[in-house]
Amino acid sequence: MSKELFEAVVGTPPPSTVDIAAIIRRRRRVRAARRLGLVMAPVAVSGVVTAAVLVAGGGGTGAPVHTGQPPLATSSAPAPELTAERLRAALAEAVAAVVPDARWLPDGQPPVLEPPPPARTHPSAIVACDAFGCTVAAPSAPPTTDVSFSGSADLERGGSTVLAMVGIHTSRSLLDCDDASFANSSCTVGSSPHGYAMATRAYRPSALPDGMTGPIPVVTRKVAIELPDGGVLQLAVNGPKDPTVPLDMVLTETELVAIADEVVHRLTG
Amino acid sequence: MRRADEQEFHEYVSARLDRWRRSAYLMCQDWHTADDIVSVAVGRLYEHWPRARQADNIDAYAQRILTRAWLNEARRPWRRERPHEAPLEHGTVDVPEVVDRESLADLLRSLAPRQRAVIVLRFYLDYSIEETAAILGISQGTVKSQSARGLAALRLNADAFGA
Repeated sequence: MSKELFEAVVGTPPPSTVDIAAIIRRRRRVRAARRLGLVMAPVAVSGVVTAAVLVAGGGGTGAPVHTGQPPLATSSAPAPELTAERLRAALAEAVAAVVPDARWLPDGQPPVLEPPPPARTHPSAIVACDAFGCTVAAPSAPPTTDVSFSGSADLERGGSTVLAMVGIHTSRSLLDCDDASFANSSCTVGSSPHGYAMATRAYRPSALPDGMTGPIPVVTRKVAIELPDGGVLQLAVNGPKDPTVPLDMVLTETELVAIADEVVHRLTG
Repeated sequence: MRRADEQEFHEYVSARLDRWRRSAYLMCQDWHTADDIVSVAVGRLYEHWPRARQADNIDAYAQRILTRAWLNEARRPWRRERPHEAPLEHGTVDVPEVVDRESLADLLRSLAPRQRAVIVLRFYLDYSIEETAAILGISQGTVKSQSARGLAALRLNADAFGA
């Protein structure tokens, strides 16, 4: 009897919106992005090509301090998921404004932003973690690792596709170039068009793919921009999938900077 | 994950999706939220699928992920529900008589999220006290005390129907 009553409470379920295939695709993409992050570091460190300067007009470090803006992605911020949704919407608007001919794949939607695995997100606040989640002792404790949340998705433009990755980080080291002494990367600090502190990085492989000649192209660019609350927004692109297509043919450095700057401006404006 | 494993995962989830959605709905009483919770749980299960496959009871493993997803969701500030009264830790007080779906829905809404999960696990999904305690990561005594109110209400319901 009681079970029938439970079924009566449930009633007739509406059509499911749980898309198992999409969930699998997204998880696969997250794994690929993580793998990419792990691979890029040793590649950059062991390279032999000298760095190239990236940001036109960069070089200054005296970025203005922004005050009076809504906080983002810190312990004092609104819920992280809310911030993630705002960031996602701002990214969609910024891409549409700066490169209107670009399109998110596969469905026109920007990447879904997710927190990293719990055990690595707020270790100081977690009492115990297992595959099912974590027991949190102090939910409001500030994160002690670098990424608040991040996501990635393919961005297509002119017939070529790059992998775009966006995230909010807590490490301000992204805003300086102290980590950029390795040979295959270049790093420049400066200010974004709207006056936020900014650093840009470019990475090149140590060698060209077999059969290719000419200068070694940039394969990854990253733009990090300071958020008013002390966090850092980082937008990165990697690719294109076709190694014969230069990254700049799909998205130039100026466009990437403009998109990241527009995202921050929309988030804080 | 290999393609064959993904296929197996897809088939496993597809076969249980309806049951998971129903139990999630009973816990949150909103279909959009229920689907969100199930989506989160499916993603998490995918991440841990190699381990889940080796679990003694894979369904309990999956249910544990789903229930934790609900409890985490209920903990969000904008989702934080205000139960009609303070959660009961011991005994039963003012148990409403559950004779129809509205009063059962009211009963569920009046409970704190974890109590609600206990009721759903025990009386809808038929998990034992031991299994419920393992799924929720709480003691069997807590399961017993937290299910007391629901059990009393459901007994009243059974009496009302002459069961």
